[in-house]
Amino acid sequence: MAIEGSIATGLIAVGAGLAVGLSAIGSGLGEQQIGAAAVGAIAENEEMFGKGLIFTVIPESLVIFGLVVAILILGLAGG
Amino acid sequence: MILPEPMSRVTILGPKTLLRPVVDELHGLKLLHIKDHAKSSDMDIGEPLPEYDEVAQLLVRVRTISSNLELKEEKAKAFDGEIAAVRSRVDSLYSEVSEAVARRAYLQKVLDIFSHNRQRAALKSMTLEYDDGDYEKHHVFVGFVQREHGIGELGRLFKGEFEGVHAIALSVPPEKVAAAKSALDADDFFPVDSDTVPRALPGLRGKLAEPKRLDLIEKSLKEALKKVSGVLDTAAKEHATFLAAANSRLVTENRKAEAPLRFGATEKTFLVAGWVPSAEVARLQGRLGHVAGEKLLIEHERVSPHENAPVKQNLPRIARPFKHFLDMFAGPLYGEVNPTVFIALTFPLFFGFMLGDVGYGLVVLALAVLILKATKGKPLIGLLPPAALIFAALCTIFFGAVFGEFFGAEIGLYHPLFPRVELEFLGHGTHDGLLIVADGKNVVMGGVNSDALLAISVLVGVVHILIGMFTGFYNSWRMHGLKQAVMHKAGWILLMPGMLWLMVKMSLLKGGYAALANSVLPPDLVIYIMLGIGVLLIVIGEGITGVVELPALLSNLFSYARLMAVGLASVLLALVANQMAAQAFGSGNIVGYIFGAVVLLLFHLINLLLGILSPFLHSLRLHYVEYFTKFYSGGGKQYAPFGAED
Repeated sequence: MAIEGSIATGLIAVGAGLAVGLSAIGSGLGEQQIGAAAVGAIAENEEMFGKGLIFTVIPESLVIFGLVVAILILGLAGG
Repeated sequence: MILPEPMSRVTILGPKTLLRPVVDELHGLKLLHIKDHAKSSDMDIGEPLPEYDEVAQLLVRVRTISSNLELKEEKAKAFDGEIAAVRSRVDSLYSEVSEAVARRAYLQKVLDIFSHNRQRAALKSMTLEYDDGDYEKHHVFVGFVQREHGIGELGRLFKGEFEGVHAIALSVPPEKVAAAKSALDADDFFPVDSDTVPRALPGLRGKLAEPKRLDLIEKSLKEALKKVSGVLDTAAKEHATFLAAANSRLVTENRKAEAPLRFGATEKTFLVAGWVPSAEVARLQGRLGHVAGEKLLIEHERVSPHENAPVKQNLPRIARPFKHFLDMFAGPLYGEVNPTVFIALTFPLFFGFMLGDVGYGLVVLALAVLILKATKGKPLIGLLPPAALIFAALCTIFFGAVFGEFFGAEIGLYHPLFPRVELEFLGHGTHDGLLIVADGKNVVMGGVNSDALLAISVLVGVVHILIGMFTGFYNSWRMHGLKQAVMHKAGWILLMPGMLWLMVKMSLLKGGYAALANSVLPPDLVIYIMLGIGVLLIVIGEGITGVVELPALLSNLFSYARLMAVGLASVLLALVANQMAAQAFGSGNIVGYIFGAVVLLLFHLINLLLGILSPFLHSLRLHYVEYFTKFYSGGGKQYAPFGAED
């Protein structure tokens, strides 16, 4: 199945992909350290599980910003 | 509902002779949240009531017995007789149980030695050193005892210890054999088998008294063990109720007896300070007056909102499950609005918007009801109250119907929010609401009609954050006065129209949503003026550092885009599962059917787990990070009146 379109559209799509992908790497790096610390805290005190889980998702905002940017970029192509 | 019950600070001063009746009355009233007295030069900390030591000792005994009898701790109605009655029964039970437990441990250890064939090692712990006496005619008892009471006087006694068990060899003249036997019986003697003794103790003189075979010894040990376990089991059955009742009574007595440690005291007087709901002050005064007459001095004063009084909150039943989310963060201060009711509204809505699927909603609802029954309302993994999950599931079903989603499949319901649109970008295909079907049959990864979802998400963010900001303004006004509120909170509110305007300009809001935003926005000039005044107020109120925080407001708003993003992720996974399964089923052979069924089950299960966890965490995070930072400080203490602990 072939998808047709101009190179410009393709570049826009690549840009959108980069926006999500790179921000996901950023989130991952952030969550990695928080997650490790949270597991440490949970090992000390199991009641920390809930709080640890919440702290761990905090950097996930970055991907969401990436997604917003991607959607705005895709808007350039579609609109 | 939103503000805590008004509290009054109460101080009670009285002579020490009235200490006990006052403590009893306060405990019965369950009204006073005691403020621990801080030791000062004029007033020391009080001493516990005289029965404190006795009660504490009894409590330790009751708990020792209960743990020896392996009783589970459970709530019970307090024993309502005299403490003396508790004491006599506990004391006799204590010695009975301790003895049986010690005996059981001893028998177990001896049996262990025999069953691991370590008698030789055990006997080697003794050294035989004979004097000049004539031992050749003696009878020797060789084995283990639990303790030794006066067996040494009957003859020559050698002792050793092996892994906590006393090993002995008792050499007695023939005429004393009977006496020795009864003395040894009293000490719970078990002989070592006649085969082992000569090998383990080659230097032993005299002849072995009452030689026994190993299997017989083991049999009698097992019988004894069974008997003593039986005694303990019977005791456990017979006394469980009493012990639970005694424990609960003693805990109460102990709490009362140590209450004066939280009071202030001089040589002759005591002082209790604390908080009582203002509506109950008269009742407290009346009851204490009844007990103590004119001899008590009781003062009270209404607490003002900026003080740190304990918080007593009457929440509507429906909002109560959501209190847990606040407890996980930090309880509200006395002066501030309790946001539980707001959370009860927005949390399920956010959750439902993200998951938004009739099928998943029904499964989550069933799960939530099951969990509620199984845990009796306790939060799942300390995190998620099942009752809150029920509301969330209902919202999920509602939004599922709005989006027209059933396990990721479009059910062709009316799509009020997301009309079908043609989208050319990723190829040819129809686009119905959430996904592009790329060409009729095969779903390649879809593009998304994200415009509508994104617009709704950030608009929800604007409203939610505005609610937070106005709440913050009110809190600040209530606790610190209008001037403070204007300086610290009003500036941020004035920025909001500017933010909305910016979103239209950035084309985050398009079409109808942009028109909607424009219809509530004032003319551009007014927006600029509001922005200017807002920034000015922020600079005055918070200094130049406040300005640095400005972009944070925009990222807070963007953060609500997760309402769209999280939901999308789950829809796409469900869709991939359905598509893979459809292809497998389409193959028409049995392997395809099995593969399809496994894929469906596995993917939807994973998606469902993620679909509960992810919307839950993200919804909670929107409240904690984006919403709470606008108004909530937290760190207040909960109203916990003396006497209501159990």
